[in-house]
Amino acid sequence: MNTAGLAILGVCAVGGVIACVAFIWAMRSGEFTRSDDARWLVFDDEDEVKRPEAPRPGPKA
Amino acid sequence: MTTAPPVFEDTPAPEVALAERVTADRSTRGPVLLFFHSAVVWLVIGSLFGLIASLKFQFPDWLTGQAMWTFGRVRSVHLNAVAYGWTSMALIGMAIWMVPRLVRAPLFMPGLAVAAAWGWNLFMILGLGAILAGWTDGMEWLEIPLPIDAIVAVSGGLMALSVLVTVARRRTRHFYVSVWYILAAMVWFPIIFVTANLPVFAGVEQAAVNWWYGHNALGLWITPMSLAGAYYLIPKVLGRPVHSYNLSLVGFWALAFFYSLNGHHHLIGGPLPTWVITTSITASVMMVIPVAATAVNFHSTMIGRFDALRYSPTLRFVVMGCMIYTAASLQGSVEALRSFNRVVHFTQYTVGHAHFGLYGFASFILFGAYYFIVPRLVDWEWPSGRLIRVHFWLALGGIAVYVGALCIGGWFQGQAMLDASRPFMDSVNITKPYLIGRTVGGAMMVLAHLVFAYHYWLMVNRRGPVRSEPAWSDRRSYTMRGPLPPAEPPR
Repeated sequence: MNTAGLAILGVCAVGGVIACVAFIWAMRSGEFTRSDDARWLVFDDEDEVKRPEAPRPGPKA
Repeated sequence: MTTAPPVFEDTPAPEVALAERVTADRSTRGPVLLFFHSAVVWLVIGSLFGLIASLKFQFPDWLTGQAMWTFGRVRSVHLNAVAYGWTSMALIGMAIWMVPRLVRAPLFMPGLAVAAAWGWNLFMILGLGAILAGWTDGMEWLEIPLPIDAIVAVSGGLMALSVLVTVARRRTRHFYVSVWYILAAMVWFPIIFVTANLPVFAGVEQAAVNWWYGHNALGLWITPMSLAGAYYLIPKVLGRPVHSYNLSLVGFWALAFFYSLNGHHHLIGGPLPTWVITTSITASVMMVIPVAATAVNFHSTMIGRFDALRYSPTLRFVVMGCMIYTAASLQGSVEALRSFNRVVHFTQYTVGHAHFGLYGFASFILFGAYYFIVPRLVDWEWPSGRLIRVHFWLALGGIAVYVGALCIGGWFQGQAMLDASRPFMDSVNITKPYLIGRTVGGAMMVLAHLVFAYHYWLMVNRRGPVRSEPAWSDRRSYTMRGPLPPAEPPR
């Protein structure tokens, strides 16, 4: 394989490792499962948007 | 230096939120204004050079007495000025403003970002001067010579250091999706920029690296940074969170996994291994996934609020930019197919597509960001709603004429080139009326930029009437300073 092929594959391999580490970190830290928290982060004090209260748990059987 | 311990509180008390936001805004004001001022200057310079290049198709003997005004140099100055001067500097300014707000922490060492802005401007001045003098590396998107590239590498490093440490000192538990995009872009761009500038490639290898970089400069730098802006601005203006946060993450990770291999579709028919080209075409088609995820998400967020486009200049520009992102990306996926590429490869069609993406998508989102951010930086409302409207319609009309003319003309040009029974000059002559359309569309965009730059100058000098609400507000304002629609019930 020529120099360009090796360089590109090398960069892609390093990038792939970084992406996988980032993905696993995100998954383990709850970035995907607690998205309802994250979507409200865009608002701050200058927005007159109030986040709705979390729904109360229903009656237990 | 003392480091505040992370609080990891996503919904702070109102007084805490106010203090954090004010601190964040104060820390970013200087560097953001410097990046924004510079970007507007490069926008005007870059688009004037673009117009000169386009006019040379109608007047080929115009400005040919000196080498620096010949088409090859003028056109390269245009590309570098708008890609690295306008788009990149404006994107960095927007990111520097958004990140501290989104992570509720002040910008780390704002002086680093200020130094980065001055360094970036030095890179632009020396780089464009070198191109005009005929000193280039001879590769598209990589024309600026290697020694000058070192300046922007250092500047970018300083800027990234400031942003990354800010994120590391965040006071929120989660990353908002815009932060994901910005962080990724700030990791991706240095990797592709440094790799592509390594002086070890030659011949076909150089072409392969060239287009790997050229397309990724758009896909791994400009696209994620622009989408970060859209994911911030649309919910902010509407007062409604993004429709599906999970879908936004699907879009992000799909872009991360598919975009980096797109570039080699520029070399279809070239002397590269078939598997390289086929992989690139496959990745280009797979881009439908992140594009569709983003389009569906933005559209679903907008549903029921499209009337806000009448009242918010920010929303109008950003939503138009997102719609063009969808159209340009799908156009790009089709363009990568061998059967289609065979016709349009060496034609004006490609030029139209490139402008559709870089201008219609990225620049429109940036214009929207300016209309949102600058009033908060200078504590002044935009002086004239009419000038904003003129800017919008000239820019939209200009890009529509430009892309429409070049895509139609480029298709006919490709058909003529493929017809062995016709002389080559047929493929040149057939484009003439469409190249007039290119100049007319380009002139409209230049005029839009002059209007925008004049309005921006008025704005930062706090000229115009004292306003208590935005100038463009026919009935009621959808911006943060006026009354907002009521919050939505939980979904």
